[in-house]
Amino acid sequence: MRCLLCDAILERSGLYGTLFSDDPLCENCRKEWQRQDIHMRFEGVPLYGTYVYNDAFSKCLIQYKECMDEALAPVFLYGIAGQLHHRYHGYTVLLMPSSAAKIKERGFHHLEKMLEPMGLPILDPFEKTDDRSQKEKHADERESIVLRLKEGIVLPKKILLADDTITSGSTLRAALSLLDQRRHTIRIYTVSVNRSQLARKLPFPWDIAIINKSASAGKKEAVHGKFSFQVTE
Amino acid sequence: MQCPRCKNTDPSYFYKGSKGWYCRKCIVFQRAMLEEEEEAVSLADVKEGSGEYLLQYPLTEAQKSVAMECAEVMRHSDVLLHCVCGAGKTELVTASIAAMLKEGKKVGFAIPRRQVVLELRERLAQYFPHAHVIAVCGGHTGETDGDLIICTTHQLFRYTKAFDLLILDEPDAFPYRGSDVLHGIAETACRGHRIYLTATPDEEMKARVEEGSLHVLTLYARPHGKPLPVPKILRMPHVFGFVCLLKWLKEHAGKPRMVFVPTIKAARWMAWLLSLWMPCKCCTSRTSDKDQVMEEFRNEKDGVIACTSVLERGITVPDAQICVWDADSEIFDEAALVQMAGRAGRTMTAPEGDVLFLCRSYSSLAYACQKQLEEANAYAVSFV
Repeated sequence: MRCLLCDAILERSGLYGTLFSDDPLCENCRKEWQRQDIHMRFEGVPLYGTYVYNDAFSKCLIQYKECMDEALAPVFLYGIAGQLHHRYHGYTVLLMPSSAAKIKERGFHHLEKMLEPMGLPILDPFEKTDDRSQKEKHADERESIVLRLKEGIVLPKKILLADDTITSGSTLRAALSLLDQRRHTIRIYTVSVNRSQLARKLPFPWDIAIINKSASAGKKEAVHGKFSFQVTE
Repeated sequence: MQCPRCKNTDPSYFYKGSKGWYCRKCIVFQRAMLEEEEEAVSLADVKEGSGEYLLQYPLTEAQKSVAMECAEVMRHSDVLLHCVCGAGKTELVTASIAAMLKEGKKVGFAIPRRQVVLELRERLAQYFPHAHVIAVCGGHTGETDGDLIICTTHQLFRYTKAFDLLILDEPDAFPYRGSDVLHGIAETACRGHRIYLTATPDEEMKARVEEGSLHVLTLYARPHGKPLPVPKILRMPHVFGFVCLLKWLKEHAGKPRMVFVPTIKAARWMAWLLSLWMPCKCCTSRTSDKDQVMEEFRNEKDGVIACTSVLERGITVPDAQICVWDADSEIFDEAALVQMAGRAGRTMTAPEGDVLFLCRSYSSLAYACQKQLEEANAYAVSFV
């Protein structure tokens, strides 16, 4: 067996590794991915993420999506799938939309393949009103993604919105705007979370002192009291 | 089963997806399905009159005869141009390129290193003033079709069966050397014959020459007729070696001096240490603004640069003096040493240079390199 990313022959170290591990990635490649349990709220909806979107992750995702390397599908949820199955028991996964032309070219829906190991029912109810990729648009256009529900789809009560990564969050926002939060229980799961989104995460109380400190260092203004916020004009 | 693009036959790299079998060895260049034959790309026809060329200085007799022979042989067989460093390999193949362009055939020029691509484009654009010469490499991929295409070996995946003549410069350099994927891609990019240009052919090429499938043409003399600079080898511990290095740097003050070191870490150390005595630059594969550093080094004319083997090939700095620190390091092989020594004395204005190898222990490779250059010099003399 070879590592799916670096072609090195797989060697396991340690008792667990030699006996049980069947990770398709080698230990070095896996180490570069930054595993972190990320709990935050997106537009008031609980969001859970498992990896920080760093260079190694983005490289792998590009190889999977753009180079159409289907073999990488089980890599993303390796070791997490079982956990997710229990966490979201009873939910139905709603996939974020992908352009129809791209799916036809790939021959598979990349999110569906990626999330299959969770063992939850999967639905693909959304479609984009304009079929252009995110990269072709300007930053201000990206914000205004408009989605619509496909015809004849009945949404279940418990919904899990799932995506591979969250960058600006505009696709998720558009999807949320289509759903009635009073009628459905909604959760969001993204495999990775971008650093810009992570920065928006509300800090714990003990982080506030650090934030104050760094802010005051930058502005050279005296801060009165340890936990006071700065008043801007 | 065989991958139509990278010619891989190892079954462990094949994977069956929802669309059928595909090859994972060359997956970074997008998926190649096994059943589908790679279609030839359609490129625009070569402009008329693009075959006219003018060299900046006339070729010597020896160069002329090799260039003519090459233009003839490349029509029916692959050619290996085995020339010493600085013999003007690019000028030797211009005749062949011109002959193909005149017939309206596509010519590609592939080099493993990105920096050399840009440098070479400038030169070839001067030689072929009427042709549209383009460079295709990382960061320059907006335009991919011209009369004469110069690209890195990685970019050859864009040109399936596109070239009637493919010239591979320095095929023994990283990353082309030892990479099956790049070898395969180079094979699919070419529908005619190939010309390899190198000063240090590897074992594989030597085997092909023995076998008879590769025609070898050799040139031992540089155009200015002066012998190749032969390295002096000094063996001593690092501390004394460093003193010698400082003395050597002082001797050649006023000329550009390059200090090659084996690793990136060593390059940073060396640049820091030398900067205690004189301003010193550092250039490694990790340097983000390599092009700018090299540009400054060239313009300065009396600078010192500590570099790794990124600058080992395809770089011409007029009147450069070369020192190799730790020449006995495992990282340098004989080809690398020959190439580094070949950075000295490359221009007409400064045909001589000084090369110094500093080692800690006896290194058979350093002595082999010295011997190889001496032999080449002896051959050159016997021909004249």
